[in-house]
Formats: sequence, structure tokens, C-alpha cells
Amino acid sequence: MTYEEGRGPLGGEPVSDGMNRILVIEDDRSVGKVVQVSLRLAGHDVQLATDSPGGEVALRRGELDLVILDINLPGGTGLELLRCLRDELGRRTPVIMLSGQKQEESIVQALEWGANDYVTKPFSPRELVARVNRWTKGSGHVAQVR
Amino acid sequence: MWRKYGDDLYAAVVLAVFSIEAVTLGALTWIFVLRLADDLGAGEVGAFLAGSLALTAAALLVIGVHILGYHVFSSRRERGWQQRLDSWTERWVGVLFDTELPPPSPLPREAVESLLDLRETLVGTEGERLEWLMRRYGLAEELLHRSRAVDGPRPSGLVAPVRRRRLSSRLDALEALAKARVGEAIEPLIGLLGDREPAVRIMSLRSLARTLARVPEGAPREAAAERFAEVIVGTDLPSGAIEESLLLLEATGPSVLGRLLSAAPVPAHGRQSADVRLDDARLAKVLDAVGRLKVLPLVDQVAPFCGHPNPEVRAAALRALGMIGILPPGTEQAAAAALIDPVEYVRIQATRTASLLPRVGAEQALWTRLADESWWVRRAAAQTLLGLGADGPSLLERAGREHDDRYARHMAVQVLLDRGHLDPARARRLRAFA
Repeated sequence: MTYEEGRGPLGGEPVSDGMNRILVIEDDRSVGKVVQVSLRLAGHDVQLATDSPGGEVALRRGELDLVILDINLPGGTGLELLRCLRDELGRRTPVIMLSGQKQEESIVQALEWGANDYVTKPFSPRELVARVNRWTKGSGHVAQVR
Repeated sequence: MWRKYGDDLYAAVVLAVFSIEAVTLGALTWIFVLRLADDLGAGEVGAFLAGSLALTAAALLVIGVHILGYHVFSSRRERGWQQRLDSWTERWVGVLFDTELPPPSPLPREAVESLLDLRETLVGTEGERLEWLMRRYGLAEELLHRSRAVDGPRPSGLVAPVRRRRLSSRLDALEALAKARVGEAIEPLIGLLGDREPAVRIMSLRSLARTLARVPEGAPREAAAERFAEVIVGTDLPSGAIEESLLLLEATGPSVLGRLLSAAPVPAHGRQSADVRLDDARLAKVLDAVGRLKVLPLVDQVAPFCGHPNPEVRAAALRALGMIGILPPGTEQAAAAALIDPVEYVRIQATRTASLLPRVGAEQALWTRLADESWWVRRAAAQTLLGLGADGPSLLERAGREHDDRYARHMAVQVLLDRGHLDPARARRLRAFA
């Protein structure tokens, strides 16, 4: 189970309060790192979990402004976590799926199960940040990436 | 993990241990022969036997220590590699977001690997920056150089393992090129499709398809699609590899598939391509790829192949239309005719596609196919009937009670049971009818 607490941009000072708290559940280290850095540069507080059990712990732990969720994860699937968030925890936190599954069925299923948005890999970090900003609008301070 | 590194050292250790054991056993046999001939005393034989056992124990110890040592070493090596990869990923991300300067050349292996991983993951501005970085470090040229064969005769005998190592390095370079997805690799990759190594030819085709998947929309993509279609028509690679490459084309796929279907002869129309021809095995794979990628604009080009003389092509065309979910106008007759095709697998596909026929025609066709001589066609008919809208289950239940054919009634009940539309008690009552 891997779950990394939020740190400042590129491992710097801890982030201050008032930012949007975003949980990224992604097993691909490259993807996780890019998402983490681009969202931090855009002014968000980012936590990273790299497997399903770690993601579930982070989901249950506290208030989040948004969740970015991969579908294929070690130890479970992103859809199971989505169901846990919506049905078991009863939270309406915006969820953006970030997945390599491009089939219409996968996208439709994720949206039907309660995802708010779906981004396919390969992805554009700028586009992802724009979507995150859209869903977190009003819930914290948001800066443009770069 | 065991076979990832150190094959040569392991082979040397095993060879040494077995050689020592073989010599020891040979000497032991000779000692026993001498003892039988009373040329050697019992004490000398006993001493030699003890020595042999000690040598065997030492040999087993050597091999055991080697295996354990290998696991410790390789775990550390893997961990170290992953840490260096992570640190390079972080560094590249810093470069992408202007918080770090690009590192100087030459790049270590892990830097190249992490750069390629990022290239595979990102598009947009950051994707373009990664492409620029790869050009700056000359990665495409380096990978292309590594992917080319060393000139000379095909090695054999003891040189073969060395050749295999070179081959694995070439295949690694081709995989890296697939991740790099740089336009300048397209023509050299096409050149490698004529390589003497079958594995290199297949890998080159795969890398080519993955590179073309990222070609920008518009004229460059159309030109690339034209070139790839020519390659597919001209290559002698297995049709399975061709289909895989077609599926890897992503956004470039529809253009390539459209061109390939235009190059295929359509018997019903008497149309033959001018100078190129796609054989039936590859045509079937092209049709399958159209279905899997759900290329809706190509349904009109797929439809004529439902009447192709080759059953594999007929089945592939029907399957493609079924996957897309559209039967173009004028195709109903061919699709209905395929329901009584003499070839079983064509009837199976036709039965699955029958759901796309007008409702009344579909019900009648599927009801009839429920009594087909083939178990697979009966099953396909029952499953398709079940999927015919909200009243599918009731239709199939009626078939389970009222169909003239005993096997059709059995199949209807079985499919209802398998799909959870019947509880076992009700299924038993229906089976009493059947």
C-alpha cells in the first residue's frame, strides 16, 4: 500500500491551507509525477496514492476537493474506488478518471458510475489542469499552469 | 527476475558444477571397477568416496550460493534502477515545466528510458517539448542506429548466442522507437520491414504503427496512411501481426483501413484494384480491424464483402458490421442469405448480425436459426434473440415452450438460465415442455 502525503511543489515547503486538496490515484510513476507537479504548479495541494488500497485509505481519511482516478490499479480498480466514494462514503467530490482505456463502453461506464469527467492517456497536462480548475472552481485559489 | 540478468554467469556456474560432477562420477566408476578386480584396497576406495561426496556437496553449495546471491544482487539492482528512473522522471518534469535546465549530453540509460516513458504518456505542449528534447539529444538517430543489423553473413553455431544478444538489443531499440514516436523514423522503419530477422520485421511494423498513431491530423496523416497501406499490401508478414499493427494505429487507423478496403477486389462489383491486391487472409483481418475500431464511416465499404466467395472474408465482414451495429441499406438481403450459408462460422456471424435486420425479419430469422444443425449457431441465435430489446427474454421463453424443434427449446431454456433470466425450478418446468 503506497500513499504519499502532500508536499510543496517539487518537494519544497509544505503547502499552506486554502488550496484545493486533490487526491491522485495512479500507479504509473511517470504519469503520477507529471500530474502531481503540474497541479502543484497550478496552486493545488496534491496527494498521490499508487495503488487501490492506498487510494481507499486516502479517500476515507478526509475532505477532498477533487479526485483523479486511474482505472487499472494494483489491488483493485478505479471503478471500485469510485463506487466506494459515491455509495459507501456518500460523497459528491468531483472525480476525473485518467485512463488508457479509450473504448466508449469504459467511458460510459465510468460516467454512469458517478465520474464527473474522463481524460484518456496519452494526455495533455494543460488540458487536465484546465479540467481540474473547472471542477474545483470556487473551492480554493487556482493559478494558471506556467 | 531470475532470468533478467546474469544468464552467462549462471550458464558458466552450471557447466562447471556439472563438469566436476561428471568427472567425479567417471573416476568413481573407475575406482569401483579397480576394486572389483581387487587392484585397490577398501581403505583407498572409502577415501575416494568421501572425497567425491565432499566435492558434490561443495558443488551444490556453489550453485546454491550463486542463486541466493543473484536474488540479493538483482533486487538491489532493480531498486537502484527504479530510484534512478524516478529521479530522472522528476528532473524531466522539471525541465518540461521550466523549473530545471535540460541536462547535458550524453544521457545515461535511465534518463533515456524515463524520457521515453514520458513521451508515451504526454501529448499537447508538453508532448511537443518532449519531441523537441529527443531531437536535441539525437535519440531517434541513436535508436535507429541500434535497430539496424550489423552487415555480414548470418552467424551460426557458437556465434549464435552473440547474434541473439545483438538481436535483443535491436528489438529493444525498436521498442524504444515505438515509444519515441518521431516522424523521421517512419522511412527507416519501413526499410526494416525487409530485414532478414522475422522478429525485427514484426517489431518494426509494430513500431511503425505506433509512430503513425501520433502523426498530426491533415496532410501529414493522410500521406502516412497512404504509405502504411502500401506497406501492408506489399509485406509478407503474418496476417495476425498485420491486424495487431492496424489496431495500434489509433486515429490514423480509419484512413489506412479505408485505403486498404479500396485496394481489395470486390467480386460483386467486379472491381479490381489497379496495381495492388490485398489477399483474402489480410482482407479478413482488415475487416476485423474495422469492426474492432468501430470505424462507422467505412460500413458502406465493408458491406459488399458479405457476399465474398471466401467464407473467412464473409464472416469477417458480418462480424465487423455486427460490432459497429449498423447494416447499411441494401445489405439486408446479403445478411439474410448468410443465415443459410453452408459454412458454420459464417452462419454464426450472420445470426449475431441478424439483430440489425428489421424487427420482424430479425425475430423470424433468429427463431429459424434456433433449430440450426450447429450447436454454436443455435446458441448465437438464442443469445441474439435474448438481446432483442426489452421483450427479448419473453420471446426466448416462448421459444423454450413453443418452438417446434426440441434442440431449439433446450437451447432457449439453457441461455435463459445461463443469463440469470430463469431460476432453476422454472427452468426445470420449461425443460419438461422441451
